[in-house]
Formats: sequence, C-alpha cells, structure tokens
Amino acid sequence: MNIIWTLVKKELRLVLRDPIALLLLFVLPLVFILVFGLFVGEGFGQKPDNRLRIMFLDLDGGPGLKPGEAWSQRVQRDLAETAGIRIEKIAFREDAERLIREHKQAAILVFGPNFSACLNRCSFLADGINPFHRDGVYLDKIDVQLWKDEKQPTTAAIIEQVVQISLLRVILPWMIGRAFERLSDPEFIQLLGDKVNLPVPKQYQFLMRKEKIKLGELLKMASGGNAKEAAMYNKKVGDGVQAALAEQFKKYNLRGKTWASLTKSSEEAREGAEVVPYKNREGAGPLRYGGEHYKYLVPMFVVMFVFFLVLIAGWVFVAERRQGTLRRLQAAPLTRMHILMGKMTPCLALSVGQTLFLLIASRWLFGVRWGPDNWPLTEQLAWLLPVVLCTSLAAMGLALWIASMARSELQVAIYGGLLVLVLAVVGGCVLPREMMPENTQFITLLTPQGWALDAYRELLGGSENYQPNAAILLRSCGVLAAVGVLSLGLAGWFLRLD
Amino acid sequence: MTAAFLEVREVSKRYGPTLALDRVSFDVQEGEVFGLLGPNGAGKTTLLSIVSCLLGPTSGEVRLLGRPVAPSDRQIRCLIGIVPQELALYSELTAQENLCFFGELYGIRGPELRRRVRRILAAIGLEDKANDRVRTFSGGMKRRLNLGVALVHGPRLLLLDEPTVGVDPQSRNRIFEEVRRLNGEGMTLVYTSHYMEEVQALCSRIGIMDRGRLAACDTLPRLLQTLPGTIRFRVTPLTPALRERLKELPDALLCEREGQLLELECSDVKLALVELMRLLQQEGAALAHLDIEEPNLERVFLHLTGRQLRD
Repeated sequence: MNIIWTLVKKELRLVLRDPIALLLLFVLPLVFILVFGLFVGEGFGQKPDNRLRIMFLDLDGGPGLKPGEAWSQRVQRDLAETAGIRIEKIAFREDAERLIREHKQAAILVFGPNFSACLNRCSFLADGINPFHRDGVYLDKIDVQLWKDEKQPTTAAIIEQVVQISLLRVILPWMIGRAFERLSDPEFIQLLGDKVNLPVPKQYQFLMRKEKIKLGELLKMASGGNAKEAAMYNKKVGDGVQAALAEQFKKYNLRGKTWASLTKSSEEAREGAEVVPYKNREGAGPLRYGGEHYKYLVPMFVVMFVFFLVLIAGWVFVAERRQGTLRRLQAAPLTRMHILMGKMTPCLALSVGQTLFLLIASRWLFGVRWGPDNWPLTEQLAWLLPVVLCTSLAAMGLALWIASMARSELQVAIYGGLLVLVLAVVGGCVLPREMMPENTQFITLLTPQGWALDAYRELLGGSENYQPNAAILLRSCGVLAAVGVLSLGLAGWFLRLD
Repeated sequence: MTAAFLEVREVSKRYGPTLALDRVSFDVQEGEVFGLLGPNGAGKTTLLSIVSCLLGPTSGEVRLLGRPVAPSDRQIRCLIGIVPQELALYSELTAQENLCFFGELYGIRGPELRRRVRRILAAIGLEDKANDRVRTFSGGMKRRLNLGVALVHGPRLLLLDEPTVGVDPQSRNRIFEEVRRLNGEGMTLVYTSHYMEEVQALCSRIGIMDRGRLAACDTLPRLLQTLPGTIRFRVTPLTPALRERLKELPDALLCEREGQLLELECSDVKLALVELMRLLQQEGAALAHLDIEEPNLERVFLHLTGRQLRD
C-alpha cells in the first residue's frame, strides 16, 4: 500500500507541475463553458421552437366580461388559441423594457391599467368609444401599447398584425352583442317609433285625421294610454326586431359577445393554447449566471474534458518509458500490479478532482444546480458522486488502454486525440443530442460520453422541481462502469513494461 | 571453494533472429570492481539487464550470493542497484524528491531515508541543488544524480552502464571518486564502458565483450601479457655482426622493415630494452631512432576481435 501511495504521490506531483496538463484539465473546460456561455442563445440545446413568440405585460385593472376576468385575459386567451403562437406573460415592467432594449424581443404588448375600462366603453353608439379605423383598432384609445424594437421591424409588424386581429376578435363581437341587446331598449323603440312613418288606410283617415302615422303613435294608441301596456308593446317590438334579425342572420349569434359565440363556431382546443409565464433563461450578470444554456454546456464540456485524461495519462506513461524511469521502476521491488495501480489510482483521482472542480466552479460561476432544489446538498451529492466516479472510471480505463498501446507522444496524440475528439463529437459533447436528427440520436449512446451526458443532464439539466429519473442514472452508471472495467482489462492485456 | 558473489553462467539472450548474448560466463568476487569493455552493441546493456532482473535470459543462469536471479524475485532486487546508460530521472521533481521517491520504493522511509538522501547528495556534490528541479541541471549533474538514485537503497551490487557518457571532466572525476569510495566501503561493482581508460583506471578485472560474446576476462596485467610489446629502432652502422647478435637476444624476435628500420617484438619491453642498449654499447653502434610500443587494452581488443574498440 505504501508503495502505491508513493507512486500516486509522484504521479500527482508530476501532473500538478505540468502547466499544460493543468491548463488542459482545469482551465480550458471553464474557458470553453464561459466562451460558449457568453455567445450561445438561451435556447441552445433545446428543440427549436418555431412558433411566433408574443410577450405581454398585463397591467389591466379589469373588470371584464365575466366577474374576476379582465378583458386583457380574454385577449390573452384568444392569442394563446391562435395556432403557431407562443404566449409568454412578463411579470415585471423592467423585464419587458430590458427585453426591448437588448433586442431580445421584437415587440411586447402592454395592457394598460384602463384597458378593461376602455373596452367596456366601446360601443357603436355615439357616446361610446369607437376603437376602429381603416386598418384595425386604435391601440391608444383602449389603453394598449405595443413596444417595438426598432431593429426588428418585420417581426414587430407581424406581431402587431396578430395582436390587431385578436383585438378585433375580442372587441367586435362584444360591441355587436351589446348593440343587439340595445334593440329592445325603450330609447331604441322610441327612436324606431319616430323614424317609422306608416301610411294610414283611407277608411281610417277620418278617424286619425292624417294620412300617415308614426309607429310610436300606433303603439301608443294600442296601449290606450296605459303606460305599462305601452312599455310591453314597445318590448314586443324590440323582441320582434331582435328575433327577426336573428332569423335573418341565423348563421350568427348576434347576442354572443365572443368571436366563437358570434360565429357559432365550436370551441377548438388548439396547440399552444397556454399562456406561459416569461422566465429569464439567459441568466444574469456578465457571466449570465443561471442561464438555461449552461444546463447543456456544463455537462457537455465536463464530459468532453474528463476524457482528455486519455491524452494526459498517455503522455505521462510514454514519458515514463522514454525517460527510462519505467526501467528503474521495473528494477525496483515492485510487481506489475503495483505499477498498474500506481498509474490507475492517480488517473482516477485526477479525473474525479477535475470533475468536482468543474462542477463546483460551474455552480459558483454559472449557477448550475446539482439536482432539484428540494433535495438537500447531501442528497444531490449522493446521486452526483456515483455519476462522477463511473465517468472517471470509464475515462481512466480508456486512458490506460491508449497508454498501454502508444509507444510515443505522437502516437498518444494521434490515437488519443482521435478517440477523444471523435467520441466527443459522436457522443453529443459538441452538438447536443437534441439538435441532432432524431433518427441519428441513438448513435450518441454508442459512446461512453453519450451515457455520461445522459446521467449528468439528468441531474444538472432539469428545472428546479424536476425529479431525476433514477433508472436513467443507474443505467448510465452501469454502462460507464462496464466501459471502464473493459478498458482496464484491455490495458492490462496490451501493457508491455519492457 | 566458496561461491563467487556474482556468477554468470552460459548466459544467452536472443531477440528473434538476433543473438544479443552468446553463452557469456564470468564470476565477480565480493568487493571487486569488474569492468565490461566493449563497443556499442556488444551486449553489455543486455547483460546488465539480465543481472538486474529486468530481463530473463534465453538460456543460462545468473546467481547472486548463490541465489538465482529472476525477474520475478523482488527480494533479490533490493540487493542490486542499477545506473542505466540513459538518464532515468523525473525532470520535474527535485533531486531530493527523486532520491526520496526511489528510496521509498525500496521501503526506506522516515529519518533513515532523509539521512541517506543527505549523505548521497553530499557524496555526489549536489547538496546545494537538493531542492532544484532536475530539468535545470547540467548533463554532468544529472549523471551524478543518476548514480545517486541507484545508491539510495544501499545495494550490495552496483551495476553501472556507461555512467560517464557525455559528461564533463569534473563530473567524470566525481563519479570515479564515488565509485572508488563505494568500492572502498566494500560494495561490489560491475562497470561497463567503451572507454578503455576508465576501465583500466577503475577495474581490477576486465571482461572484453564483442558481438554478444565474452572474448576475454582477466586482470589487466594478464590481459596485456597476451600481446607482445614492440621496440622500433635504427642503428648506425648496422653491421652483419650486429644484426646476428640482435637476432640472438633472448625472448625477442627481430624483424627488418623498409629503410633499415628494425623491430623487436618482446613479451617484456623493459627487459628487452636494457638488453638492446647493452648490445649496442658493446658493438659501438649508435641509436638513430627509437620508438617503443607497449601493449594496451585497445590493442588487446583489436587483437581479440579484429576491430577497433570505437568502430
């Protein structure tokens, strides 16, 4: 045991005194994560969402058509039910302003505090608000603003058109419905009675002493001066007009105050009929702390660089052979097992140390979580450490396998470099699996990197409440451990100390 | 009769079609400095590798203190120290760390290890460089440390494989002093070199190797005795009577070369020279030219192998 500890100390000392090795193992991965983290978009690694994203800020104070529902919510629902649109609700005005200022969003719809009040006053009547003009709806008349990014005029124009159509779908049925209701109002019957002038048949002219009579006078005569009956007749006229119009335009429900009701169309559940709260996925601060993209970048580069151990271990082993110290080790009272263990143990320790360093740095610098927030740190570590150990075991196995076959630094660079880079690309460490064509994604699982990524993403890539899938973790750990053991077996088989 | 400290018996080593060692046999007594002289490729390093448990022979046997030397024997390795021909040091470790590391591999730890390391650093003249990394050392300093590393576990047999290749005179002298000091303390050494002067200066017995074979093995005087010395001279006048008397000189053979140059081949140059001078005085002849060539290892090697040592 003492002998192995002596060998381990020596190996670690050599690596820690090699600035290139340190750079490759500890600094370069962080630089990669940082550089990619600063330049890739928030949606990096996720399935691309081709839907038009419409964001809104809702300051509307209500009330709307139904109790407890402001008009703005009706507009939001209408937007959300529009196919091909993703609706996101921004909670804070500052976020909305920032998104426009930083050109992250082409346009943001802002419902002012008086939106519902304005809509309630919209009417075809002279004293109501007429929100319409030739091209659509006057936004300013209904306390709506559309904040636009001047650098994205086309997308902003598209968003504006979509918003205009939604507003029309909400406001127009409401105004038509209200107008239809007004047909039975006494004021309307009075108006109708005054406007409709009917000819009096000749045999009754002597009674009426006029050739024409207004509808209002006829209704008055019919009631015999009884105000109650007059009101009843007026209502009957109003109801009759409404019924006649309803019959005449029976394809429409003129009483309905929503678009679906007006057009008598069945309510359809549409894709994306959901308003999602806006969430800052980009992260905050100069390092974009907490950005969604780190959930992809950190596992990718941690796994990629853990397997760079292949190169470091290979070089150390070849250097041992080249500088003749391997011959001295052979001359010392050591067994082959001592020498192998003396190489394996520091490799594993180095790999685990490298991974833990990167994970701690990623948590600290980029806000990457190690598991669900409701897990205590001990539980997060209890799941994370087996993944770290199994990945390092696989990396160590491959490292010693390459080291056992290579006879020169150049061979290590060729065999190891090809192996590490090709497996990293195929395994999804350069291009996330989600961005690959679906029918080729399975190829990633032909590499240890692919399995390691599965495990790390399960823990590092979820949302705060995501519960990692234990089966995926156990399966990945099992495969990685098997790769490690198999590679070590091959290393033992190929290793020639003389 | 007691067994030799190191016995090499009929050792052969074959690498595929190449016979690197061909039935090599010799003994080394305890406390002896045994030299192996031969050109590059003679098989010296292969032989040392077998003696130091790094290689197994194809046939034959090596015994140390009567015990067979085998690559699997870990205990016997503790008795052997090897100074490889190529530097075998960790250049990113300090001199002290190198010594400690190899000492620990042999199970030496704590104060004992520190004491030995201090003593070795002093002996090889690197006390003031103990904490410097080896990569900053000159070639000679590295060679000295290369020797020191082989001593840290206190071996009884030290194998030195061309330990002075490419070193400056100062470091070479240091190494010589250390070899003599170690031998003075009773350590047995096997010293290989293709530098005749080194072997002549350090070794009590010498084995001459060429093409995997041990061509000769004896003490230096006895090796030299295998070759005659030569006295080349001209005399005036060279009378027929003088020529006849020269032919009669004991233990000498007269040859006549071009330009009246005479050559006397003799086993003892000094004795023959005294006889020659006496004869010339008696005959009244004067010596016009004199050139004396005594036997040396170079000539012995040429005589035994038919080629120069540094071919």
